[in-house]
Amino acid sequence: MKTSLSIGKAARAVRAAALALGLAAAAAVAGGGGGASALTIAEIQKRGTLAVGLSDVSPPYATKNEKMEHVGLEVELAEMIAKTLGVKLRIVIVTAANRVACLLTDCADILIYGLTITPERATQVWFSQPYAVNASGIIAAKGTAIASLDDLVGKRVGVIRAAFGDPVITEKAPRGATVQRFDDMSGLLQAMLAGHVDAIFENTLIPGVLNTMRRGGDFETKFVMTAGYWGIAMRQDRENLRQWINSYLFTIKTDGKLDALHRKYLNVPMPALPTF
Amino acid sequence: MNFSVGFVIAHLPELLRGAGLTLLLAMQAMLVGVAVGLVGCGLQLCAGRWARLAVQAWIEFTRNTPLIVQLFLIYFGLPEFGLRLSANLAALIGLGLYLGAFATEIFRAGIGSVGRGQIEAGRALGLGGFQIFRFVVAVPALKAVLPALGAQFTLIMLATSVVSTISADELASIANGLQTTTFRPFEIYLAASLIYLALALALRAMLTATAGAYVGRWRE
Amino acid sequence: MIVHDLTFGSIAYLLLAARWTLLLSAIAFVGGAIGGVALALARTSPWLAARLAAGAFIQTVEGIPLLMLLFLFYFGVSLTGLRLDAWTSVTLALSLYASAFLADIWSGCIRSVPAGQWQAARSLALGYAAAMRLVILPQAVRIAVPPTVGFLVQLIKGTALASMVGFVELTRAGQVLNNMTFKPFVIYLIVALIYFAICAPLSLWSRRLEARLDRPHRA
Repeated sequence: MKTSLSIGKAARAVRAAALALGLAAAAAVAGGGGGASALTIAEIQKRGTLAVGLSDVSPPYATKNEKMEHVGLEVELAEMIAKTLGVKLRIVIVTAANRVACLLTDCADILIYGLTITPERATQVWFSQPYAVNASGIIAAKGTAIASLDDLVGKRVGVIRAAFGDPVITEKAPRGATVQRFDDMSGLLQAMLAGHVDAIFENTLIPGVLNTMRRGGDFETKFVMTAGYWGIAMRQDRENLRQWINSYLFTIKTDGKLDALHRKYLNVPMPALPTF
Repeated sequence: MNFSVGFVIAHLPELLRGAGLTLLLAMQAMLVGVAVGLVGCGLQLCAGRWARLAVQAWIEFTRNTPLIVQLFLIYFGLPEFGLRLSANLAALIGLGLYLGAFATEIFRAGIGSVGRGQIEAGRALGLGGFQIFRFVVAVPALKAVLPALGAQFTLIMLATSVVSTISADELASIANGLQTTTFRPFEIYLAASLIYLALALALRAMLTATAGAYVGRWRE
Repeated sequence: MIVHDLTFGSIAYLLLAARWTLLLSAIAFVGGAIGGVALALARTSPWLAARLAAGAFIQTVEGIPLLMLLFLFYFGVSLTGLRLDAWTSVTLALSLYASAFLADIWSGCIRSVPAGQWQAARSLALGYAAAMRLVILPQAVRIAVPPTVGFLVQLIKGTALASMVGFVELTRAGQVLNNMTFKPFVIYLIVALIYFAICAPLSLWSRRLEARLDRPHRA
């Protein structure tokens, strides 16, 4: 079956493949060496853009308004950071599934995505000082009688899958309570409104959100169980970047700008945000 | 970036539990899909004009729209009419209906593949409608149908990953949850992908073996 | 936070997002076709190494759910040290997916050309490459068109999963819209109908092509 024509063609194909692989390897070395961990504020300013990973389905932190503009506390925080740096903001829409991958491959420089600071996560990324707090508790309609954990027996409690609250409610929920998990805030809130669940375990700002989503709604926090703090995430070893971001957060905490953001989007004053 | 194999091994039990759930869901969806397919095919062959048109319309809709959108309709849309299904139930119904649309066509093709001559011979022998189906059509149709159904099973097993988007419980959801807590998406998704690949290869091997044996036995 | 009403503007938003679905599908199909041809030729070549390599690649990509492929792509990308934007990652991942399935379909079509054709080509002293080019491939292409169009429908439906990596195409647009108006049934029904409008004509065409194949063909 093999003619001299075929062998010649095979040899040429192998040479071409080897060349292609060699070029790819060279590109990899060149590409990998460059911007991997060396991102500094000076470089961001020289580059002229800051890429921030944000959600678009997490009201009121990051969502779209009726003009299809990207709005929310985290969105405005990103805008403020970019403006102060004097660079253009490039929003990278990410989901819970790909946000860390995006950060670790430099498709985003920082993530502002309601990320609770935990030791386990801190082994993979670096966090800034907190910009918001996530106090969580059981939320339900005023008519639902829940005063403590025991009242959850026979009820369905919603939580965002593997988010900060999932292991907490999974551990603390009494026997006879059903815990249901949802992929994101949007899914969880819809479930509460649609009656898929009797209560949700979420942060204490959510009743305000639910009550605005359902005009005349009457959701409230029944009792608080935990508090976790949200930080801006970036790749490890970017000390220069983290130092600047922390300095910036310090200034907006002390001059009232962060408080203004909280009041504007969350209808609450800025709570106490401890630092580390 | 620090890729860690030890990390994956530590979480392997959880991922394997997810694999078990995936297989279970796939099997249940297969049963529902075959049932729906039989009903659909029966309606298409025997029912009146409007029923046939309705079935055809449903098949066209299901085959020309993405599974994820169908799941969103069932899980998020139906509650607007008061029908609230759990995520796992919505996943099963969504997958079952999806497979059912393909199965209806497969069954119809299988039955259609039995030559006219066979059916006419049956009539010439004085066999009634149902007897013709049972003795003349059923076995060759089954032979024609099994390979296609087998292929669908592997496809459905892989498609179960889509139900993670409505938070039903299976491997992709568990993987998603793990990577959110640990911030190690690469290790987790790579492990999950390899598990899916292992499941798909094992399923294909098993189906080729059993279908081959069964089909072989019925050779006339 | 305010709940907005569903307006004609919302529907326009969905239709505009459908552009991205179409563009993404087209690019992925072209990318997949390029890869698919190479893989199909390798899969049906006389060299065992090429057949095994192509076969392994096809089986691997077909054995991983598209959702996982999309998630994994950032991983593969980071290994090479390259930095890709969302469009490039998603189109590459979908092209990879398409190339495996198209290669599977096309190598099947090549193999289904009757053996007699090969023998006839041999008897005319045509080498492997010439036989493929002049005799086998033209016939294989004819057989391949219906299932290829059928796969294009699968690919278009597959782009819906890009929503899970934040890519704003039709399905994601539906999610965002739902998040504002909380009318999931109407929104996702419209989304489904837009997909239907895109895919159903293609499916119909594929079936027509398949029916035409059954008619006798003058070589």
